[in-house]
Amino acid sequence: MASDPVGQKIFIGMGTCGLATGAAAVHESVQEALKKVGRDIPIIKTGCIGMCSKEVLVDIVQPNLPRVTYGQVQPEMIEKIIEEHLVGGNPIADLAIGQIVDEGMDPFKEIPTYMDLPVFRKQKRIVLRRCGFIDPDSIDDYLATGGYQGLEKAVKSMPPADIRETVKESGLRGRGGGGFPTGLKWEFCANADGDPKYLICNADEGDPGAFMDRSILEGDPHAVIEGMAIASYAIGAEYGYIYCRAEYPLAIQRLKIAISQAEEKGYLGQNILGSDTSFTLRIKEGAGAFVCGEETALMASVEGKRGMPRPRPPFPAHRGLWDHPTNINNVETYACVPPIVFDGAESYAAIGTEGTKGTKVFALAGKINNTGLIEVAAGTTLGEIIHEIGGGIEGGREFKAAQLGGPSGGCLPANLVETPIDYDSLIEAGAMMGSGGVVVMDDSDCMVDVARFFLTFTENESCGKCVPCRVGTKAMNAVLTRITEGGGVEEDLENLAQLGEQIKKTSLCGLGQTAPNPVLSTMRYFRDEYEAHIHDGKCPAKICTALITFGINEACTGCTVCAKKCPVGAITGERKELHVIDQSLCTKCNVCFEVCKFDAVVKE
Amino acid sequence: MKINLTIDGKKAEVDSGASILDAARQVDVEIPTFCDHKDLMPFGSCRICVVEDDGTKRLFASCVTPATDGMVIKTDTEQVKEAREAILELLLTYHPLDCPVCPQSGRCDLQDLAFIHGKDSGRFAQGDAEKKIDLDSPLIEMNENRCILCGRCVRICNEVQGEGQLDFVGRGFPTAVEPAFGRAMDCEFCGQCIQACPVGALYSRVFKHTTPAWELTPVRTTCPFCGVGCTLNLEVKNDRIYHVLGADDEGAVNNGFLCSKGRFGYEYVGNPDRLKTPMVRKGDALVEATWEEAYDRIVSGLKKIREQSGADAVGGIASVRCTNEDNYLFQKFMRAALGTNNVDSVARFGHLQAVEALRKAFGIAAPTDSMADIEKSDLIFALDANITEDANVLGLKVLKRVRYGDGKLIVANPRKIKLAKFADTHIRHRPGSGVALLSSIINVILEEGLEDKEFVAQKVSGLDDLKASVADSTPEKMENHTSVPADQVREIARSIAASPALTILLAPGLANAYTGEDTVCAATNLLLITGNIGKPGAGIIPISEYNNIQGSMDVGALAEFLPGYQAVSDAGARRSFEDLWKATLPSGPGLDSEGMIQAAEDGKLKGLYVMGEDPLASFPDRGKVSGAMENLDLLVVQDIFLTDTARVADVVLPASCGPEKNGTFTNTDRRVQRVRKAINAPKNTRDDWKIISELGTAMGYDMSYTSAMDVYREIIGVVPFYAGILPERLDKTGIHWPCPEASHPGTEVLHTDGFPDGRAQAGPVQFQEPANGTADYPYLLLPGTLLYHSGTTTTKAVSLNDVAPTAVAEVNPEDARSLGLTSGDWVRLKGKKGSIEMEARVADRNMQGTVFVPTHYRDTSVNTLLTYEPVKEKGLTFVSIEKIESMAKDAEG
Repeated sequence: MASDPVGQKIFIGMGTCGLATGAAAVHESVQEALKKVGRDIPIIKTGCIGMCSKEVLVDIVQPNLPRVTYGQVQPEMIEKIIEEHLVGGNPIADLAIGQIVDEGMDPFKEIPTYMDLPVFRKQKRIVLRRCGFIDPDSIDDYLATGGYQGLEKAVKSMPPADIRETVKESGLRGRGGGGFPTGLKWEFCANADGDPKYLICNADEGDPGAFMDRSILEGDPHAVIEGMAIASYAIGAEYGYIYCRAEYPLAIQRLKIAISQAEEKGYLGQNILGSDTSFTLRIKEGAGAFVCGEETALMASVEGKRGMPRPRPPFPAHRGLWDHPTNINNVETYACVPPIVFDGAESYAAIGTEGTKGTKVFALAGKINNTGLIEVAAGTTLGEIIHEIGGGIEGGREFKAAQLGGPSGGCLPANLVETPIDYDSLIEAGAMMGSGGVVVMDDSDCMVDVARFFLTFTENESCGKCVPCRVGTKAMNAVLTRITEGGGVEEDLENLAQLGEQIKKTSLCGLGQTAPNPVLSTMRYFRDEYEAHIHDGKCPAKICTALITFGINEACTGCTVCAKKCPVGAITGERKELHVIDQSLCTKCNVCFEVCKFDAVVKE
Repeated sequence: MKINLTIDGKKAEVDSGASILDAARQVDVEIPTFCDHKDLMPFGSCRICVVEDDGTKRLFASCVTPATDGMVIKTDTEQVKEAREAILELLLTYHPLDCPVCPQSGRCDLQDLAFIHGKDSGRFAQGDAEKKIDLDSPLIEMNENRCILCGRCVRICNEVQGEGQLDFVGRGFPTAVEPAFGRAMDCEFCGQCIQACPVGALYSRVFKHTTPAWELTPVRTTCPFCGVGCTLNLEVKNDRIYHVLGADDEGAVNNGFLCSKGRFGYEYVGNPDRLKTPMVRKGDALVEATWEEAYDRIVSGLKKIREQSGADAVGGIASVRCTNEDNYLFQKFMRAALGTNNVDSVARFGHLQAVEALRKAFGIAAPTDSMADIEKSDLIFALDANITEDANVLGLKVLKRVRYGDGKLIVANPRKIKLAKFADTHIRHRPGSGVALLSSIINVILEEGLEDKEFVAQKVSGLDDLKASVADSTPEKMENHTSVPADQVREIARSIAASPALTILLAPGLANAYTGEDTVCAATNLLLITGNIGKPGAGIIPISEYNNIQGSMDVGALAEFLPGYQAVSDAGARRSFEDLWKATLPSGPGLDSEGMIQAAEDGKLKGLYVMGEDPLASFPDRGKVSGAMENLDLLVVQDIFLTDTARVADVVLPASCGPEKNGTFTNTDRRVQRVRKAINAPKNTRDDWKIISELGTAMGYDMSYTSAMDVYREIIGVVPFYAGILPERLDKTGIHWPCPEASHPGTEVLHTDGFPDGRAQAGPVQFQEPANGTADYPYLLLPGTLLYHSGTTTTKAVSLNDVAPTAVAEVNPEDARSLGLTSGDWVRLKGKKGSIEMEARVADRNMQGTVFVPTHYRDTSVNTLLTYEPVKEKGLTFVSIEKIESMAKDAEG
């Protein structure tokens, strides 16, 4: 076999997003192609770099040359890429989406650099800095990129109280959504009476449209482990659990590998790095209840009980897992810790706004071009995120609103694009940071229907314990459903608003206390849409099927496609003649609308 | 630390950790609640109890929010009112408004609150929850549509009952409370869930659709089944009991809890098989008679025997079920009217032996500790007692102490009983080796010098004899008998010695024949050497199987004792009773229960008067008893059903039963409690005390009393330790004897001021090697009680029989394999005295080589197999097991 140039590597994005778009087949093709050209070079199965819409991503790395990323790679493209680029030294500009040019390198022509790409230019990557750049299954990759240096600095040179002080000074607030100052939380737990103390990582990410934590665990699991190990030392918690939903098998697999590697190298277990601090870390798989992301329900679940929240106080810091002092943070929060400890509080606190320091990872989903993961400095505006980093709205349609913070959060309308994304501004605007999900809606989305979608989610995911959440969400949903079906009455809006406020005030846990937010915020910003449904019996976005009828206009060419596709045979018409929909048969399934190439099917 | 706060302008001071709701209750500010329950941990699910913090204007659920110093709480602001109304409105939106047919209607918390708020409809469309109605479970029914998911039932079933039969199933609005996998309930059927349910979701299947709840009148009385003596509210109307609730005030022994018997067993009262008229034997048949005819037959019969053979040719079996008044008059009748000391009861076969051991050791023939005192116990040692079945509500006190308090639990029981699951240690010693086990524990404590030396020096005699008697009983040697590893015994001995307060619980009786006087004696020795007598949380309680065993003995229904344990052989005592009773009393020792059967068999006893007992079903050796009965010239049976003994009687007298009469019971911890008449007895029946007094008078000895409580007044005049328990003091609570005078509060824990004789007596432990089976009779018979039944009485409660209809023999899986048995097969158990046939169930609760058989069923009389020897000599009954064709198949064939 020909000798290979040292340092050649191929990266394949094999996070869940990559795998879902066919990364396994691409990986196979790469192996075959390499065999064919007689090269035995490392193939790195890396995590998600954030550009999920461009998966499968394949990067070619050659010594002293810019790293080139190919996007939306199909297996059949591989042979060409290997032959022309890897072997021939000529990157294929048509297929490449970007290149990373380190200092002293000459960029390839006709390929934009990452910094030219709007999706990257405005990002500030701290948590995600390794995602897509290392092999998550390799602790050596992690170590080579500064991994475990924070832990080493902590246990070798910082007393626990100093670490807590550093985290306090950094201004880090809980990234799971609550935004509670992390250092303060640690302080409470450290000062609580009780032995042993427990540390929990909440990886029960369940918001629709949110996948930040999954990507971090899949792309850089050691960062979370290191953050937890530092926290355990700072708090004096000898045992830890990562509570990860079982629907994240890849994250769990990578965590298992990472934990055993860390144990082997002495970053976990007894006497970490020769110190007298010990930390035993285990994974607990959740069974898929959204409410188990609520910390008290999560702890009940770890204890083997039904995942149901209990009132606080007592707070977990005082009486948590098995009634022992417990510190719970989410994945992203822990991942922020190593750089804070290693680089110092100031460098982290220098980023962000007055009340929200550092960066925040967001998952962009919905009607946006660059669906995927981004990390930005706190204070970046919604408009920058959607129009620049996110690449604007799919199909060039008009941006209408974004749901921030998942089903617990709220909708921000297009006219609030200047809102800086930080904890306090979002609350003021009726939304919340939440865990970082951003679901983007365009002008074809009905906001009443969107509100109903999120409320249906919380109604189904309510644990059933307290009355306002269990019954209140159902009662609100019944009203919303009635409105979307044309049965809305004048008092509905007032009743929804009042009940929503009561649910927020009286629910036991965060799930119920935030469940009405999507309804209340859409009512606040899109009241006219609600009124159109109620007063005029119209759905302006033409989504609510009960309020629309399908018709075929003069543009019809008589191509018969709609008639063939109609599942109920409601469309009739001779070839090359205007077709007609029989309203008594039409189920408003929207198929005709979708298949018509001449925009002849119309909704009224 | 004390917390000061203001609620609606009222100052409250509470302990740190108290909730806002606790504080509000203290200052009489009313806050509505659904999920809150005094015996359960805070849950915070219903949210109806929200209050406003005046500082932040935020709402808090008062039941789960701790009161903090300086807090200013308001419960009547507009915000609170709106929130409460919203919760109420939501609950009613999907709650079926089927109040007209709901068993809880009239006492439903939701209905009451809705009534107060006065709105008949809400803003949101009334919807149907479309949940399940449980139509399969016996006794308890659940309509999930009415459920407001407050979780009281779920929590009471787990936290109080230790069952966990119910839990939340599903998520969101469809969440429901159900047994696992939606199956029918298969539980203890205590019905705690029914009583805890604030709405009509869980209710008695027996009560449903019988009568509106608001038409019922509660009558407070004492449960007639086991020795715990739970305080009941019988809910009655028109001379019928419809429903039973446990009383939950401070004067009740049971915190509102009941077992299946207490809650559902009342049905025996209204059973159509009740005796409704006197009957006399004419030839082979019992025929209906008037009371006069029956009395004539009895009086002439008794007089004839007395004239021909002397008063000692007559005997009387008293009742461990009947009231103190009934039993007092019964023994007075036997002694003063007839002139014999031949009066006794089934207490002879168990409980009497236990309390005799206590009398010998401590000087008082009664349990030393109270059930409530278990709250203070550090270590509970349940020896051969299946407490959660024998005395369910006492079991709950043990569970609470062990699960939520600082108490440890040692269960020594060959069977895998429920309590073993909650025990810190479960010892499975061989049946009958309790004495060997205790000897080895005592041996370790004495050998290692772990005894309470100060206590022993000051208060105990006979230590040397004790020491000598256990010198050889090392754990290593005893292991051969007990099968308990020596190391484990040593560990237990040390933990017992290290415990500040030890309580021993035992359950003597025919059902546990191997717990006899020597076992209790060994237990008293253990308590004495560890100083565990006469202080809170320490002592011994032998649990009585029947409601009034203790009381019947206290009032003299024993061959050797006049009322108050005053010996018949004591001339002075006799003389004072002769003065009081205005009669000449016999001085000779009377025949005890076994003695009377023997004398009848021998033809020496010619007349037998049985009150509220069924010797054919409850005395050992049914064959022998049957022969004895046949020998009698006159057999009188006074009872509420035509029992097996009544069927062979010459005269049968129909009596009233517990809920139909007034009087007192004395429960297993010496607590005298009121029995109140809740309903009228069937027309032609009479109270037991009344019958006896009429017969006494007819015999020429004046026994006229105006009422049962009139009799009670005489009792407190002759039983010194009852002297201060005046009837009016029993209105709201019971009183533990000794209570020598009206100002005395009663005595929960005995011997706090020392012992009657100055010192307690440690006695040598007589250890006998337990018997083994033989080739002919290889299996050890374990007769026992079931949770669902009490004696044979509750088998007359139709609904309880839905749960436990027939006797089933429990066979160990290993034995079943060698016998070729599977569950549902029929077996014949054969012993030296006879055989019985029943269904078998393969269950690993028993050790190999043993077979458990319940004692309650008339058609499977276990006493057929028993002999008198086990009772006296601590032998054990062995049987053979043979698989047979089912009786049902035979019938079909």
